[in-house]
Amino acid sequence: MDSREIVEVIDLNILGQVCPACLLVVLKALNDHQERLRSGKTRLVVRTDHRDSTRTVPESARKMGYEAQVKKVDTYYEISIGRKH
Amino acid sequence: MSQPDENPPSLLAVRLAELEAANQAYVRYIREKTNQLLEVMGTRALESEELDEEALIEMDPIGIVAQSFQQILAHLNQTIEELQEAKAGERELREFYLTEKMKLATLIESLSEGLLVLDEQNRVVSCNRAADEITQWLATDSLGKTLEALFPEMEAVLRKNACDLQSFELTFRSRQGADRLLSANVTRLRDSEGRAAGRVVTFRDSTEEKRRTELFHRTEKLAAIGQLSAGVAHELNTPLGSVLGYARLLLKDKTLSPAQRAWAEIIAEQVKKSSGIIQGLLRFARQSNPARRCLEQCRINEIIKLTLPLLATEMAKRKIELETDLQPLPPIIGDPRELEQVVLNLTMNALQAIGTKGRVRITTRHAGSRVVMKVEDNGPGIAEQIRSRIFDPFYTTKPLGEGTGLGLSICSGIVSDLGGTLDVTSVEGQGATFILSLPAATEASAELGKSDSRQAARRMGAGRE
Repeated sequence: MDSREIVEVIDLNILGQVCPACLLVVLKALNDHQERLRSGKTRLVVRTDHRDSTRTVPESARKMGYEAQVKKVDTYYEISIGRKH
Repeated sequence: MSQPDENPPSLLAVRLAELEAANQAYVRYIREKTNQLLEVMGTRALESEELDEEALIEMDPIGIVAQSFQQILAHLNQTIEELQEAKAGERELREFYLTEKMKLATLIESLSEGLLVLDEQNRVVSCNRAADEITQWLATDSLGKTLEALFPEMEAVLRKNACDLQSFELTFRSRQGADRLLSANVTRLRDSEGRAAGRVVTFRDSTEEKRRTELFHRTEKLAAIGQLSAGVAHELNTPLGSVLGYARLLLKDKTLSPAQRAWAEIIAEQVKKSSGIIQGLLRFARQSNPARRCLEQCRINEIIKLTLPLLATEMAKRKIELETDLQPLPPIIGDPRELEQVVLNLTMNALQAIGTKGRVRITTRHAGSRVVMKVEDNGPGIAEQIRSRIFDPFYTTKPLGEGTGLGLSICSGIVSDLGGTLDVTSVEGQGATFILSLPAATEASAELGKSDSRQAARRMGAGRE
C-alpha cells in the first residue's frame, strides 16, 4: 500500500474494551465513514488490546469489502482498515 | 361511602412499572437480536457486563449490524458484477483464442510443407496433411510414434545438433520403397516460460527440385560445350578445307613421285577424318540439326519396333534377352530419326552395360499428358557418385576408343528440345533404368509440328539452292 495516497487517518481507540462490544464500535465507525473509506482517501486505524478483536474486526471488515491489516505495536494491536486495492 | 384502598398505587407508579417492564423487554429483545446478528457475523454473544442496558440502547447495535450487513450486501453485489464482467471477458478471450486456434489450424493444414510437432521425447504430437502426403503415412500412423521410428536419419542429425537446423537434406524411403530427398528445418519449441517443450519440424520433398536443378546444370553445361564446339569446329573447318583442297591439287600433279603421292593421299585422308570429327562436334552442338529436324507426329512404339531389329544381331551375340511391353500410346511430336537415335542409344547403352548374358526390358506407358518409355537392364548399375555425370558430354566409363561419351548427352539434348525429360534410376549391382518422358501431342502441338516441319522443309530447300 502506498502511504502517499492516504490523506486522512481516523483514529479509533478502543483499548480496554472487549469483544464483541469493540466489534460493534468498529462496525459503527465503518458505517459512519463508509463513503470516505470507500473513496480510498481515508483509513480507519483501530487500537485494541483485546486479542479476539484482531480476528473478528478484520474478518468483518473484509466481508464488507475493505482491506484490513493487523500490526502489533508495543502493548496493543493496530488494525488498519481501508479501501481494497 | 367506600373507603379508598390503603397505599393505593398511584397511576404514575403503575405507569412507571409498565414502562420499566416494557424497557426490560425491549432491552432483552435488543440483546437477543444483537446476539443473533453477532453470531451471524462470526463472533460470540455479548456479555451482560460488556454493555449495560443504557449503553446498549444508546449504541443501537441492531442498527449498526444491519448497516454493516447492507455494506456486506453491497460488497457482494459488487463482487458478483465483477465476476460477471470477468466471465464475459473470459468468454471473449476464449472466443478470441478459439478463433486464433482455428486460424492456426487452417494455416497449418493449408501449408504445402509437411509439419510435425514433437514433444520432449521426440514423439509426434501433431502432424499436418502435407506431412502425410509427402511421407505417405496415414495420420494415425505417425501420431504418438517417435521420430526415430519414422525418420531414423533425422533423429540421428538431431541427436548430434542440439540447436535449430535450417535446410538440411535427408533421404527418406516411402511406403512404396521410393527414395525421396527431403529438405527439413527444425526449430525448438518453448513454453510460455521459455522452457524447452519439444520441436517443430517442417520439411518438403525436394526430389523434383533437385532433379530440375541437375537438369538445368546439365543443359547449361551442354549449351556451353556446344557453343565452344561450334566455335572450334567453325574455326577449324576453313583451314582444313584449304589443306584438303591443296592436297587434292597436289594429287592431280602428274610429276609427283609415288612416295609424294602417298603422302598427299595420307594428308587428304587425315583431313577427311578430322572433318568427320568436326561434323560430329557440330552434330553434338546441334548447329546443323535444327535445319534438318523434321517435326511430325510419331508413334514411339513404332519407332521402337523399327529400331530394335538393328540390334538383333548384337543381342544374339551377347546372349541378351529382350522383353518389350508396349502399351497403346498417343502420338508425340518429334523427328523420327532423332527419336530412333535416342532409342538406339539407350538400348545400346544397356547392352554395353550388361556385357554378356542379361536382360533388357523396354516398356511404354501413357501417363497423364505424357508418354513414358523405360529402358531397364539388369547390368551392374550406375554408382551413386557418377550418376549425376553420365549426361555430361564426353563423360564415359567405357575403355578408351570404345565410346565418345556423347551418346547420352545427345539423347538428353534431343529429348529436352522436344519438351521432355530423360532420367535414370539405379541401384548399384541391380541394373539401371532410363526413363524417357515426352509430352503427348495435342491438337495445337500437332499443328505446330506440321508448321515446324514445313519451315524445316523450306529451310532445307533453301539450303540446297
